[in-house]
Amino acid sequence: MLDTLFSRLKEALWPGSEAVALPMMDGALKPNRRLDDAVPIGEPLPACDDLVTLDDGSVLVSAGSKVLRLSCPALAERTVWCECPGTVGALAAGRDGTVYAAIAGAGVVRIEQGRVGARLEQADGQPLRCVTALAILPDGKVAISEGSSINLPDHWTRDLLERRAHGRVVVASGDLSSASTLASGLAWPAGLLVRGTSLWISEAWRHRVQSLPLAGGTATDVMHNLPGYPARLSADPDGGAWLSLLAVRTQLLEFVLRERAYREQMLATIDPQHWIAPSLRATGHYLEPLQGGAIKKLGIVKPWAPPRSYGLVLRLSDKGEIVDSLHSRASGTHHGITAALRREGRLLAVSKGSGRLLDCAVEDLR
Amino acid sequence: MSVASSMVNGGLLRRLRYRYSARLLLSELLGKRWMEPAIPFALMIGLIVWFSMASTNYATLGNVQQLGREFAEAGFVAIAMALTVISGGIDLSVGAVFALANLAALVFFQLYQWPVALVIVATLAIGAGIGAINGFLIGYMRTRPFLTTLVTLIVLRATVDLLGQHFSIPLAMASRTSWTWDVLGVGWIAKLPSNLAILGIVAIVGHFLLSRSRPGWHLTAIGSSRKAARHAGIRVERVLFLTYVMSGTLAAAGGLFYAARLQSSGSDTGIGWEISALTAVVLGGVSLAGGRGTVARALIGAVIVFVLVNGLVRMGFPGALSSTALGAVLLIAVGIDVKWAKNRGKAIQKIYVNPTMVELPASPSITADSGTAFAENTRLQASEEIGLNQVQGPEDIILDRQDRLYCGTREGWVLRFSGPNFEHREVFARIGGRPLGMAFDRDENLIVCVGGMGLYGVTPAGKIYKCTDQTQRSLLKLNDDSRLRLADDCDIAPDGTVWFSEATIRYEMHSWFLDGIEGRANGRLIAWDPKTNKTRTVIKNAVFPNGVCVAHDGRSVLFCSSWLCTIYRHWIEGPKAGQTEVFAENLPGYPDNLNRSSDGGYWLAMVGIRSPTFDLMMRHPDVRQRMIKQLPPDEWVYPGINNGCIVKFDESGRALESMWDPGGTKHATVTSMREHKGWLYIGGLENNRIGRVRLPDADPEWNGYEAYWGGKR
Repeated sequence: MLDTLFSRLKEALWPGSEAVALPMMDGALKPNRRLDDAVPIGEPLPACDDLVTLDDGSVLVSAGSKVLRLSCPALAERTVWCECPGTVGALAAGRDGTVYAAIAGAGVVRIEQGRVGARLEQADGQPLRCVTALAILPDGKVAISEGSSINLPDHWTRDLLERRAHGRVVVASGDLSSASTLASGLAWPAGLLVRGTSLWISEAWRHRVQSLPLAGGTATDVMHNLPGYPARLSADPDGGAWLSLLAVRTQLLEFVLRERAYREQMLATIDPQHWIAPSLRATGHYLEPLQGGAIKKLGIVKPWAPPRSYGLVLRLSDKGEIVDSLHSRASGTHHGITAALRREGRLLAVSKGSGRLLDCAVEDLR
Repeated sequence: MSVASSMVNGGLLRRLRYRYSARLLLSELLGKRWMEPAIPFALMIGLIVWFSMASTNYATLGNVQQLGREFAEAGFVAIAMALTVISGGIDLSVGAVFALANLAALVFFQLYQWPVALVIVATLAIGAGIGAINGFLIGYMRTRPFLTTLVTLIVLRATVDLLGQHFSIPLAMASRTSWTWDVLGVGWIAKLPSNLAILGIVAIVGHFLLSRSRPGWHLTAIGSSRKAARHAGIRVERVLFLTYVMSGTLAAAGGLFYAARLQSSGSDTGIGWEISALTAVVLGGVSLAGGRGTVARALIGAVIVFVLVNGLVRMGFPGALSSTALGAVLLIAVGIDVKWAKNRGKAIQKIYVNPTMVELPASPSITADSGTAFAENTRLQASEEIGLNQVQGPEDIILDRQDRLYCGTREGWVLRFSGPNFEHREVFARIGGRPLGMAFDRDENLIVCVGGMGLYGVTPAGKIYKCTDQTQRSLLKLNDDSRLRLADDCDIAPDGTVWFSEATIRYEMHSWFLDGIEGRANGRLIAWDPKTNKTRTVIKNAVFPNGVCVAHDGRSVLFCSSWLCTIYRHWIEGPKAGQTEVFAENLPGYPDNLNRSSDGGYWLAMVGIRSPTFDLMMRHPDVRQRMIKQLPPDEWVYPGINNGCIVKFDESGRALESMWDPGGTKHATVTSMREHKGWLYIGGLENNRIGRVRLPDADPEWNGYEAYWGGKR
């Protein structure tokens, strides 16, 4: 309490002095090339975003306005499973074969046998325009996280740079006929995972994962001060979980978030793809801000250069401790991991940045 | 947008604030050695003013003269102490020497009835003799100065007491007077008390001796580091010996004047003076650690101590209290001395970089479909590699008449590639520094700008010689800017004059980007005439002047200003001689080296492309200042230098075409290019190769040497 007070005071007197140090990429976070070494499955999948497994072993992947079905055994067969009325983001599979899908700007739809059925377009009188993640609760209801009530999913960097906390979590009935808000004032909630009687919510701009009791009550931290922007969560059969991160934090971005005048002018006058902001995709374009450590020296960019985009998936224990991680660093291309899922002993990861579905080798913990 | 941004950025006032930075002045002032005693000096003035107001009749002529006379003796002792402290030691015996000299002078004059001249010589000799004992022990026998002089102090004190008892009665009865003796004691020289006048002369001579002469430098060097001084060949023992002799002599001089003024051999003469002198010296800014200090500082400190003690006594404080005050002052002074000596460099570093506002107009379009001469393409990606992984950072490249390729590297070498495919690599010259821009003179000597060294030449046989490493000093600059800090690129006019740019006078090669963060006019265009060996600054206050190229007709010099994205033309001949005009401005990137093309135009290496976020940052000096303070260099924002781009201009400054390697897959950070016999050779500051691309439309016989010197041989 006193510490918080003093650090607030110090921050007010000397801005920047109390900036929380970014966590070191060490221990379980030690960088590796495991995402770079992962084998891409099939042809590139531009704009792929989320994936779920169905009971028959096939996998659904959202990409653009389509939901694709990848069939066994090697997921080599690709068919269009459903055409949706907008850009599809998050997916969740219910017990009876129904699938829920988030449509950018339009809410959530229920898909049965490849056909779009019921829709949910608002909750508590507020339109649902930016659904980032879905989860099926034990009682069959659907938990929905809305990243922001201001910005659309594709404008996530704007939401970050505007320092918004306009997200919420909504619980809807299984047939999407009714919905109510469970938690609000969240800073881009981007991942949901049911854990017993609680719901884990990853809050990207606050670099943390919280656990919210479904019966009501206050949320508690599962993890905090993560090195990046946590997004979707998925359960592992061994009881743990997987957390994919959109990008990692850089000291420069934390600095820009403190520089209000500069940031506002940047947002107002510069093309979003050239902002000082994280990115899903590594382009290395000369109009993007370049950081000193990323200057090409003797023909190469160092892997440890400050990354604008990064690929990172964390493996969590059942208590939320980081036990393992898969990386694609500044020198790699499998960046912008938006979803990761354990399937048949392997890890499937969606690299939205490179438009690839990755098949990564992971080991059983025990 | 322009209205909005001018509202946000503020107007003229804001611009002026960044243009003339008080912080910049302060950082340069703090860097000056003569600024070190600024605080003691202010304290001295403050004390004098305060006592003048607080005590009546203080500022009258008579009182000041009287105080001056009393002060002079303390002044001698303070200088004596200062010399030993600067040499890294201490002389605690100054007070005792002072007392002994006082007694001796009285005895010689009153009892032995010696002539005054002899009294002076003998008294000073006694001081010198005691100093010699100290000096011998400390210098040659290497005893500790503190203990040695403490022992001398005790022994001398006892001697003075014994002799004082012995001579006190005869002295009390003696009454010899002499005109010269009175002049010493109570006389006047040029309306100053005689002892004060002599102190002044001694101080001036001492100051020059210490700060401007070889023995003085030796003394300071020993104080800084005895070991390093020995390694530098300084005769440490002898210098230390002489220092203590000098110290003893000066203390004795103080005693002599004291004797002449007061004619008294009181037993408390000189007691505690070593502490006052030490306080004075440290207070004035002479470092106790040695190696730092001047005579003037010692005297400033002495004045403070004298005025303080004298003033307190005058205001009726008891003696014990003023001693306590003195002790407290000494404690504070030592504390500040330690902290300041340790942190001064850091304080300067914190305020050294002073960004200013750089407002560039919107960048011209460079997209592939823009249809402009700058339109992005991939022509450079078709380059052939030369010396891949055999060269580190060929900033500039040049070819000679035998088609051999030269480049400077980050190791400080000039490499030469020869053979049909340039596969033979050799180190042509090891100059050191950071070899940058190059040019061949008429005699085929390779003239090289070397960052950190100056302008150098290499003969065809590989012999290195210095052309110039300094230019005239600017009158109005606090910092001495005569030495060349970052000579960047050069070219040679038909008359043989070498025109070269010095990118910045404030930063070294390794921190060139800090100059970009600053965005100030820190560079200059300089001409060196080999016939007269004269160097002159032609343009100062240029913003990072980079590439230099003498125009095809030899009547003007083109030079780039990197941070302003502008190329200038400076006329050296004809009706406009001496004038500078814009050649090309508002480029989409940062211009680096500039060289002639075979069709009468110029090739420009664009080291980086302006990125919108960096352009915006250049309009926000405070943001840049905070960025470099709060973030490590690897996190700073740079413009898009992971890119390769070369642009061709015609003689009028119109861009004709460009060649790109977007993203810098082969040629990132292109800093130079040379056309030679139908090929364009490409160098890069951070690259691991040299490249070349075929120029299908170029004259296949054209080469640089012939273009410069061919027609004129």
